[in-house]
Amino acid sequence: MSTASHVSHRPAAGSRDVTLLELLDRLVDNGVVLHGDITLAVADIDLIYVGLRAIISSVSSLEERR
Amino acid sequence: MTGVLYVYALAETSEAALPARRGHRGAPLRHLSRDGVTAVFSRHRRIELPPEERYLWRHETITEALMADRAVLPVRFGTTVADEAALVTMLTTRAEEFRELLALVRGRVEIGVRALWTPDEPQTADAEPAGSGRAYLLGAVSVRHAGAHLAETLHAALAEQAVGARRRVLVTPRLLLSGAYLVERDGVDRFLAAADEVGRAHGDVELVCTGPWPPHSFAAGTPEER
Amino acid sequence: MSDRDERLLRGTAEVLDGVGRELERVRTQPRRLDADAEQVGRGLAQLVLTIVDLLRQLMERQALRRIEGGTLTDEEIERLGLAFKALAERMEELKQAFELEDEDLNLHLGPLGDLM
Repeated sequence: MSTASHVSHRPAAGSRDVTLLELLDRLVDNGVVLHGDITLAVADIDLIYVGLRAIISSVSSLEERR
Repeated sequence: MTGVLYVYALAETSEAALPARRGHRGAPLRHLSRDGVTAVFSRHRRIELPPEERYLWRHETITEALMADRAVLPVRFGTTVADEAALVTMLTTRAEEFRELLALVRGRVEIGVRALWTPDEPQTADAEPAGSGRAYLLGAVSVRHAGAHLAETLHAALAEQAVGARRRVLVTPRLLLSGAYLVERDGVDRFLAAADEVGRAHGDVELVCTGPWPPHSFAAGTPEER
Repeated sequence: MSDRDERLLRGTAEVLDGVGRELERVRTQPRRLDADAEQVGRGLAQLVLTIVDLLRQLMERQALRRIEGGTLTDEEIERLGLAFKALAERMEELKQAFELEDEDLNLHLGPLGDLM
């Protein structure tokens, strides 16, 4: 892949690791969901919500009806 | 039998052997297939992994190794099921859904695009006294409108160069567009050239492209654009 | 698949840093929780302010939708606007008092992120 002219190479020590953030975003927020549990992390405390999707979709459909 | 199964990915059932890799905590990789779809997993007595770099990369490299020779749907990090019976139920119940998604992603990779912008200061009508509540909210409205419009324009131009596209707009005020584009494995350079064009056409945004990734953003939902 | 260091296909160092900064606002690396008493107090403030900030953002977003939909009177817009402004200013003061940055108040929203 000829991208050398466009890209900074390995991030300097201490700089934000965008690749890792992208990976985190993909693996944790995407991909097949096998069951309805979704984990939210707030200040390092994991809160697990079962059936959260049902709540989210009813909130958005409430808004659509306004 | 007690314990849990940690699931890495769903793959198109294939003659190819599993990658010569270990799963988390050195556990061997196993597979189970139903109706043309194979679940790849490892068995553990108990497993609770924080989303830290080494665990993320282990999961990801297994997914990518699988992808070298068959269509793969990445599974969300941290996914566990009780046992093989649960996997069988899940596979047979959702076989058609998974097969459709596998057909969509076969031979294709995901490119991530983030667009960064610097919005202009909110311009409010002269009728609004500066510092008023209306100025605050209406200013935010106009910036959001401009941003959403620009994001959709960028996304449409990029989506045209891909067989699948997903996006989120204004996740933060500066992160105008977070897009995922499904392109043919050998079409990556062409997509990037098109992305460069889009970047050049819009001087107020800067693009960051990452990839190629397994099709994380295309592993769920219907195959149409979101 | 390219090795992990070659995932960056396009982007200058400066823009990468900018994107990284924005991504950190919605997600941060898990950090070890400090058992130190002072840190525990700060950790609690962080938790509370994170939730308050999330609610503020959700409510502002809701208000913007209602303005766009034309379901708020001018007076309501003015009152809401002043309230949100005051709340944002107060949040800033509290963040400074506890030495918290924007990144400290991020919330890994996952699917809820689409509400934001």
